[in-house]
Amino acid sequence: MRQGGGKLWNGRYAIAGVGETDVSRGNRRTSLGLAVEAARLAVADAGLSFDDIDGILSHAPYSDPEFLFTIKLSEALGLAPSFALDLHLGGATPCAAAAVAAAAIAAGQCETVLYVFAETMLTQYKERSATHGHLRWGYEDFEEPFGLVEAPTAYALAAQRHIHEYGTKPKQLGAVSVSTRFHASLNTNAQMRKPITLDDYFASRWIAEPFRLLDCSLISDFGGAFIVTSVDRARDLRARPVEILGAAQHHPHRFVTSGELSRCGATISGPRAFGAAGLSTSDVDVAELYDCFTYTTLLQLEDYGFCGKGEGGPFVENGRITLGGELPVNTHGGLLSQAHADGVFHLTEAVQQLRGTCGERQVPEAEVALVSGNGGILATHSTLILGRS
Amino acid sequence: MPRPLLPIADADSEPFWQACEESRLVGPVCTDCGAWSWPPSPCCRRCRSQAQEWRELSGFGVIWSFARVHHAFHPSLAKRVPYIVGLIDLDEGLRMVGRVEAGDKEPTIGARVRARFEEQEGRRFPYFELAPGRREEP
Repeated sequence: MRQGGGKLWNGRYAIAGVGETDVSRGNRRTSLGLAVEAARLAVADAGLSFDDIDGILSHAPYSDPEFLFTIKLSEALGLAPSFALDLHLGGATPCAAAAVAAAAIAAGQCETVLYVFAETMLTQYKERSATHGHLRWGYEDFEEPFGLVEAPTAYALAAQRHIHEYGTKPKQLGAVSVSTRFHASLNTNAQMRKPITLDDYFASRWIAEPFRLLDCSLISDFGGAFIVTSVDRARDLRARPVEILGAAQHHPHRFVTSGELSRCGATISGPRAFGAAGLSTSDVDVAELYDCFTYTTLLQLEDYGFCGKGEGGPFVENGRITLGGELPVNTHGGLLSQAHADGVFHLTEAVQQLRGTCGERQVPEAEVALVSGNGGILATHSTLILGRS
Repeated sequence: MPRPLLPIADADSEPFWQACEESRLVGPVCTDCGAWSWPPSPCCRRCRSQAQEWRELSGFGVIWSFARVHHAFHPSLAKRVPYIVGLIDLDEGLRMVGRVEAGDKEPTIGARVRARFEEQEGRRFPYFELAPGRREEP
């Protein structure tokens, strides 16, 4: 199948600002309220004013889907943008949005694009979905009557297949959980900060074998945002610009029975993004990989080529993916331990790592970051390679 | 109470659900290139032809993957957990999601299964039970 490439990105567009709301429980805020808060933080971080924003990308929260959400958000922020899209690829959205923003600027549609996503899955999903409905999964009719309900069961089927094909061990899935939690313990804005051991992992209850509770990501309220503009413009702004070096997507299937499940779209999008950047895996200083489950982290390390296919299990052991190791992965604590921010905090964390502002969890001298997004049951995948300016 | 876990038939899927009520397993096959599609879709995934017909499936297949579910993700599953969900490779060459009834045996990838039907909430649905034999994978 034909796959487009894109040298367009290299060094011409930058992330100029990022915003992350707190992820604490108990603050009663709407998704729109969290989105507004994240947008304000990103605009202030960039040293811009809202008058500078002429493009906006977002999508309605899963917990409360509605018509024209991006335009509603735009209106709430007092904007009347010249470019807007409701952009929705599940967890692959943020990385894809950075590339769409750059493409829109390259095509002369706008100059400065704000991406925002916010959710209230933790505190408001139940009450809102009861009265306002929820976003339909799409293939529930061929899954739910047969007992396949919600993502953990579907990803468990994927992980089981990987175990069968490659001999991946439970303690290796556990190693991902322990490492990611350690990183969250260094992040003041994380839902789960108490470090865990492999014993804690094995003591956590079964959800859907081979997954225990500590294999699964959190349910969260959050707002995250970032701003994309040209590198030339970003250089005049407050924060050190972080350049978009390479970007690519690959979406191999939709329904769980159509996929290989022991590999993902990174096998295609990875080489294309690295090719556009003129870089390889050995250039990556920090990787923020979409971690809806422990298995997803392990799988992507293989599919991006940090290790051979089937060697993800041994790769994640012995602290290799922990700060101080060969390849620190999910330095913010990821979806597993920081918050399920649908991938937007993977991107904002990468930007802060490349700025060198991560404090205790900073990867020394980080110059190149790999960020990924994944949606559905390994159905959508997006790759972003960012570099310190 | 959340909505029940019941399918809503549409123009693409209705023949499947109708056959289930008669305890028959059927699937859509392309009359141009012979490929099976799953789940039901308005065109053949291989050749995009919209010429499809519904044919009877043998109901025999093997487990491609499985998961033992312990958490009741829906109130109606509380009585059922732990139960096993599988991805079943049917002999005809299509893969379906299906509950696996293994009794006191351990399901394994490659184990042979056959379709049975059971009643849930007044409707009939396929599930798979272990059958003699297995398929060894390369």
